[in-house]
Amino acid sequence: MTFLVYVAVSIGIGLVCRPIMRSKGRSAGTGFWLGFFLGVVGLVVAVLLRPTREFEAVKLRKRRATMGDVPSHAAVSERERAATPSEIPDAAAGPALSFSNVSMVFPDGTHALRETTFSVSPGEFVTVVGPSGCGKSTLLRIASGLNPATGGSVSVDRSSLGYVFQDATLLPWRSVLRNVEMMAELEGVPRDERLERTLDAIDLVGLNGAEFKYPKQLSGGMKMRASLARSLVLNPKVFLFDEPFGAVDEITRERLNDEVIKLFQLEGFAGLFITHSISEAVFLSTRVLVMSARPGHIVADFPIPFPYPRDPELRFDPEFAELCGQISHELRGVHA
Amino acid sequence: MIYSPLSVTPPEVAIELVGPTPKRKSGKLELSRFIGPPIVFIIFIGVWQYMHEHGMRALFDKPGFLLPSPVTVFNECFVDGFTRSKLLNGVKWTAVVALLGLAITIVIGMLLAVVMAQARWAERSFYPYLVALQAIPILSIVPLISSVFGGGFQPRLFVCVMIAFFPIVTNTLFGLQSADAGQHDLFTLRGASAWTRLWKLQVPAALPAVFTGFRISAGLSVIGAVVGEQFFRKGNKPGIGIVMESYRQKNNYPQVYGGLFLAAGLGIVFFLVFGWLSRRVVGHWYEASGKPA
Repeated sequence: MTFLVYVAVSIGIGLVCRPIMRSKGRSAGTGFWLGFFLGVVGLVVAVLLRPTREFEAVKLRKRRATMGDVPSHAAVSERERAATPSEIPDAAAGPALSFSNVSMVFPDGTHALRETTFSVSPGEFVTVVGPSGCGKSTLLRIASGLNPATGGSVSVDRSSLGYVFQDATLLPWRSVLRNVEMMAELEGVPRDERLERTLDAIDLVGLNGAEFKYPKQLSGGMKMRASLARSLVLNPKVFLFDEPFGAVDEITRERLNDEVIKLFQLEGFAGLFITHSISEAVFLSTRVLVMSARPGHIVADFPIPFPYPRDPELRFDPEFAELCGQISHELRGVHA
Repeated sequence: MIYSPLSVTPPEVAIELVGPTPKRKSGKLELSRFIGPPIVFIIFIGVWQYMHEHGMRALFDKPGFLLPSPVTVFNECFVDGFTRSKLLNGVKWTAVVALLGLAITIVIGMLLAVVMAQARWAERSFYPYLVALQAIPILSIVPLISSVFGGGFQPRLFVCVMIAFFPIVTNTLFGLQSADAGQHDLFTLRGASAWTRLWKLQVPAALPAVFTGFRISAGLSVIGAVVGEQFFRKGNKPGIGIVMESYRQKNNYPQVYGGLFLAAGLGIVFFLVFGWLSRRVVGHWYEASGKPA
């Protein structure tokens, strides 16, 4: 839109120049084009001299620092929520995401899902494990509306949906700051509020200090953090994770798992997480669903009893190992 | 110029987009950058001098003055003030034609590419004619062009645009289609309009390829301008092609060679300027694949 405004302004300047040039004895056409050209050059210069988003961010950071610790609205609400971590928002309002008898057949005849029924309530973190190619990712694509299901019904509030893809899918021409900002930008959040929320999200995922870097300068783990932050800016009620940490190393993955748990406690979203790692599934979730091979459907539902916040040492708890064993057993049954 | 007119995805797009890497760590490589080109230059001058003195007679049985020696060319063209100003004036007009032609090509070509990127059917409909345009022998349609425009400035622009058009369109199109599916999903998720998608995803993603197109077309537009001048010599704006042609008719070979070097120099300057511009604009985020890390 702004682009069209620029063109309109240039044409305007051109029109103004017409009578001026004519009064100096030159042709009106020359005057118009001269004015148009001047207008375009002027606007290009103005666009180039406009303060960058990065500059605005630095200014905001400074202002926040000098105002003492006066937190923004988002930070206040986060702090309130952090004070009562076990609060489950509006459980009575029904599930945030529910699938009933959803099936999916792709146009090429691949039968990806069959009669899948489950639901995720606010404050629940549900993880789906299953053999590779069983339609786990399809589940998320249906939930988000990227692909419509061919049968059954899905109910979910898509107005503030978080979605983390397998790859970070950052836009390489944008700095971390502008990447994190992007979802809110597409959603039409006003500029100033967007910047506040963006900085909050960046702080939350621990990318403070890397805001101005470009994706090519980031490690795999940092890219995933930026990708997480990008969805967080929307304050999502439903958060979908599509095997987000499959490509990062074990140590980074464990640290990112801790981050996800922290975010889950702070934000209280309904989480739906896809993974092929059983221990990751048990560590993160309140429930683990096991899917069968294609055409996939839910074959088992394990509630995970451990309280939050979860300690990394939990992974070496005998009870934890026992649960992992049961899920693994179930998965082997599926393969057979 | 290296580009393949028959494929949508020019091979050099992926390989070398932002020119030579600015910083190399190896000292050996650094040295070769400064020593290599002068050595080749000396060999080139040597072969040239040999061809002038003996080669023309021995190989082609032609007199040596047809290929004047490097020193003669330099003295006649660049030391002699009158010839120099005449040649430089020619280069100036050629540069004007080439720049104007390039500007027209960029505007029309990129608009066409944007249209073609919007729908598969648009691409399918236009593409064959682009290839056809590329395949038309320019020299054979010159009489047709002159029957419409007469001689002078416009037909030169026309030839210039025709020659430079194809790489701009194909590179822009390739670039617009290079955003990956995951990034498109992101925009779909938030219900972005086609305009937003074009402006915030496809155009920035296309920039590296677009600049490759600019560089190729910049070189071609100079060639187009000179070729145009060889045929449309009327008017009071004599480009380097016209100057060279008039010298050739008078058998002033040193001046013709001098003009040739200036025309090539102009092409190189265009190429370098666009290479520099591309590094400025996309260098800070674009990772050229195939570049040693």
